[in-house]
Amino acid sequence: MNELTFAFVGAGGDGAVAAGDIIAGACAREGLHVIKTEAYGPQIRGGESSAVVRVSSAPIHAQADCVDVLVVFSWADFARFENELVVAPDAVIFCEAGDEPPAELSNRTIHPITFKGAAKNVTAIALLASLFGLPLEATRDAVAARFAKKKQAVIDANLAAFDLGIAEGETIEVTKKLTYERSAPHLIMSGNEASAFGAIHAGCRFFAGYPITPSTEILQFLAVWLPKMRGTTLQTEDELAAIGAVIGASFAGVKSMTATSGPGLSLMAEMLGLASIAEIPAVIVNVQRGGPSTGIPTKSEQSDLLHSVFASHGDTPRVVIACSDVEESFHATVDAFNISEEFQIPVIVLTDQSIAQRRETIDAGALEHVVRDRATATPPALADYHRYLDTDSGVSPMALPSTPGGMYQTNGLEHDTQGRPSATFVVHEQMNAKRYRKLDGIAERYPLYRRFGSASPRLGVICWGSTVGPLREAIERIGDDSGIGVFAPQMIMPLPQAPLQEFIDSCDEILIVELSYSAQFERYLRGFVDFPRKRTSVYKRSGGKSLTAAEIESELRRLLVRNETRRPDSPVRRFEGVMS
Amino acid sequence: MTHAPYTAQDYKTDLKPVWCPGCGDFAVLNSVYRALADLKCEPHDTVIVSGIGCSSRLPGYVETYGFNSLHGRALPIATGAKLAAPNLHVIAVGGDGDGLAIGGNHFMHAARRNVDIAYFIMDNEIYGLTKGQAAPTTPHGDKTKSTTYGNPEISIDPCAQAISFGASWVGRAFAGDVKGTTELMKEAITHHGFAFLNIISPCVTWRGDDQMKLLRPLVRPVSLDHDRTDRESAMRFVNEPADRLTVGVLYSAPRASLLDEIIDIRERASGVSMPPGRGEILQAFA
Repeated sequence: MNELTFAFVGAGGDGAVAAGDIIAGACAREGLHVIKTEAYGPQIRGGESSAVVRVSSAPIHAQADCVDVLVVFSWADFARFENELVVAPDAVIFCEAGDEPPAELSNRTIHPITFKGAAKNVTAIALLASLFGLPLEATRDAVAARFAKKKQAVIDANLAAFDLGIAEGETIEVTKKLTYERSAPHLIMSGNEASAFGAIHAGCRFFAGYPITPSTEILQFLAVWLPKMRGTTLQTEDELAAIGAVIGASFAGVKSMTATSGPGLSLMAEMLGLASIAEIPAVIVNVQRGGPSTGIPTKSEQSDLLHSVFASHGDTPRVVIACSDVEESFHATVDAFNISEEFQIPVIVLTDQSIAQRRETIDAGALEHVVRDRATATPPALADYHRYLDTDSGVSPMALPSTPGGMYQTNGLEHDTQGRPSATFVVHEQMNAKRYRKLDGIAERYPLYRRFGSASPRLGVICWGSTVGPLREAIERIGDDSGIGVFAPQMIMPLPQAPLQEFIDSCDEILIVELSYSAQFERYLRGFVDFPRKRTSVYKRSGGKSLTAAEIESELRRLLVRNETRRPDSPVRRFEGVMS
Repeated sequence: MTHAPYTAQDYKTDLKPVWCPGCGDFAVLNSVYRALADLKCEPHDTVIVSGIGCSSRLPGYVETYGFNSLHGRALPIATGAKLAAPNLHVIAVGGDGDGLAIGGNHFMHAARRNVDIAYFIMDNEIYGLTKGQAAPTTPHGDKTKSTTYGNPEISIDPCAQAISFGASWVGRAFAGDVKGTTELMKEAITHHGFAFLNIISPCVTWRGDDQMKLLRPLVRPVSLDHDRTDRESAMRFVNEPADRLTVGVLYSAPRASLLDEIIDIRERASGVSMPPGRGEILQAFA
C-alpha cells in the first residue's frame, strides 16, 4: 500500500492525540507525507478525543475518506465520533479486550488487546508501527524524544510499553502494509503555525490578539517566538483592542498582525474601516469556523467569505487572500504583509479550522517568500508633506512618527490630502477614488490563483480555500483525461477577474464548490464574472464536516455521466450538497 | 533637525477648533501647548491619539503626530503605538462618553497594564457632539436630551475607577485653571507608567453657560498632608459631594510599566543571544 490512515480514539488521558502526534512526527522524519487531524468532545479536560493520521508515500492534499486502522481505547468514546470517523470496510481494529464493539463494526477484523497502564497509547503505537510497515526505529525515537524531559522511570515505562506493543504484534497477521522509500525528512506544522511563521518571516514584530477557537495557536506561537525576535505579543481585553493595538503599532511603523475567528472579525469590522480610510497597514488572519454567532467553534466552514470581503460600513477597500493548505497559509500571510505594507491597506488572510488546526508535512525549502516593505516619506516629499497625496497608484508615502517634518493627523473622519477632516462631497469622492485605485494595482500585481486538472476543460470547477485539496485528489482519481479543470482563486478581493472569466468562457459547464449553506462564494463571484446561463451548478453544503475527496468525486462523476446523456438545452439545475 | 526649546505657540496648527465659544476644551488645549513646550517634547516624537467626540478633535490642533480614531478606541491604538515605538511620547485624549462608556473596557485594561502613556479625559458630564445626551459622568437626576425625566442612573468618578483599575498615577484638574492643569499634564506625561488625568472641562452649550463660573469656587487643591502613594488616602478625594472639586495628584505609585515587563520577557525568552534565525524556529517542527 502506498498510503494508510490510522485513527486513535479514547478518553482524555488515554493519549489518543499524543499517539497521533508521535506517529505523525516519526513518519514526517522518515520523509513520508502526513496529514493529521484531531477532534475533541466539548469537555475542557478529560473528555473523549480522537486523532486521525493519514500517511502516504506520495503527496496528499486532504484528509482521507475513511480510516484503515483504528485503535479504540473505549467504544463508549468512539460512539461520540460516530459521524466523523468513517471506518473502511476492510479496516483493522484494535480495541481493549472485553470492551464490546458496536454491532455495525462487527464484520471488520477486530483484535482485542490488553492495553496496560498509563502508557497504553505507546503500546498501540508500537503495535501499529511493527504491523503496518511504519518506521519502527523512528517511532521509538519519537517516543523517547517526547518523554525526554521526564524522569528516567517515566521514560523506561514508556519504552517498556513500546516493547510490549511489538510483542503483541508478533502474534497478529495483517495484509495491509505501508511500502515506501525513505527520503529527506519533512517538517510537520499546522496551518496556524504556518501563518504565525509566515508573519515572523514577513517581518511582523507586533501581534495583538484575543484567544478564540480555532485561531488561538497563532497567539500562542507568537507568544513564544516574538519576544525572542525582540518583538511584542499582546493579549488584549477583546478583539476591538486587538485590532486597535495593531493599527496603533503599524501607525508607529512596525509590521503588525492580529488573528481571530468569525465572532472576533465581527467585532473588528469598525476598525477594519478605520485602517482602510486612514490607510494603515494591518494584517488580520481570520480562521473560519461554523457560524453564525458562536456556531460550531471547533469545526470548519466557508461562511465568513462575504463578511470578509464586505465587513465594515461605508465604501471600504480591503484585500482578502485565501489559503487552501498549510503551505499556502505561510505564503498567504507573507503576501498579506507585502500587500498591506506596500499598498497601506488592511488585508485579511482567510483560512479555516480544517487547515489551521491540521498538522501537515511541509518542506523547509517551501517556506521562502520575498518580503516587501512600506514606502515611507523621505525628505523631498517632506518638504511640502501631504500624507494622503493623491497619486496615480493611490499610495502616498507614509511618514512614521519620529520623522521630523512629517507631522500629520491621521483620521477616521474623511480627510483631505493633508489629513484634515473634510465633509465635502468633492474631497470624499476624490479620496474614495484614491483608496479604491489601490485595488487596481493589487489586482494587477497579485493575480493569485491556482489552476489544475485538464488544461482545456469541458467541466470547469471553481472552488477556494479548504475545498481545493479534496478537489485535487478527486480529479487525480478520476484521471487527467476526464476533461475536468479547476480554477481556485487565492486572491478573493480583488478577484483575478480576467483569468477567471477566461476560464469560465473556455468551459462547457461550470461547477462551483463550497462549504456555505447560502452559497456565499457563488453569490460573490456573480458580482464579478458572467456564467454561462444554462450550464452552471453549485455543490454546496454547511460546514461542520470537511469536504471529502470521495464526496466531490461522486458529484463530478455524476456530472460527467449526465453530460453524456442530457439534451444540450436542459434547464438550469442547482445541486444541493448532501451530508454523507 | 531639532528646534527645541519650543514655545506654546510652536505647537499650534492652523486648523481652527470646532468647539463652541467658552468651551473648557480651549483651556485644555492651551494647557497641552504649554505642557509640551515646558517639557520640550519634540513635535515629531510626540503622538496624540483620540477617540470621537468634541474633545477628540484636539489632536488636529496640535503640531505633533496625531490620530483621531474611533469612538472609544483611543487607548488600544495608543497602547500599540507606544509598545511599537517606545521613544515616543504617547498621549491619549478624549471625552467622558468616549473613555468611560463605549471605551470603558479599554480604560480598565490600559490602567492595569500600566502602559506608559498619559491619558487625559475632558470630562464635561455630557455627550456634546451628539447634542446633549446623558454620559456616565452625568449626575443622577439631571435632565438631558436623553433623560427627559431626570437621569435614572448614578454617575461614576473616573478617578475612582482609575485607582481601582491599577493606574499608577491619577490626577484631577479643572480646565479653567490653565496653570494648574499644565503642571498636572507635565507630571502625567513624565510619569513612568499609565497616568490618568481627569480634567473637568465644562460644556457651556449643554450643561449651562455658567458652568465655568459655578465650578471655579469649588476648586481646591488636595490637602497638604495627603500621602499620594496611599490608595486609601487617595480614595478620600473620589466621589466627592457636588460642592467640592479637589484637584491635584490623587494617587501616584510607580511600578514597572508594560514595556518594562515586555523587555524583561524578551530577555527571559532569549537571554543575551541574537534573535533566532528561521532555522532555529523551524527546528520546532522537525
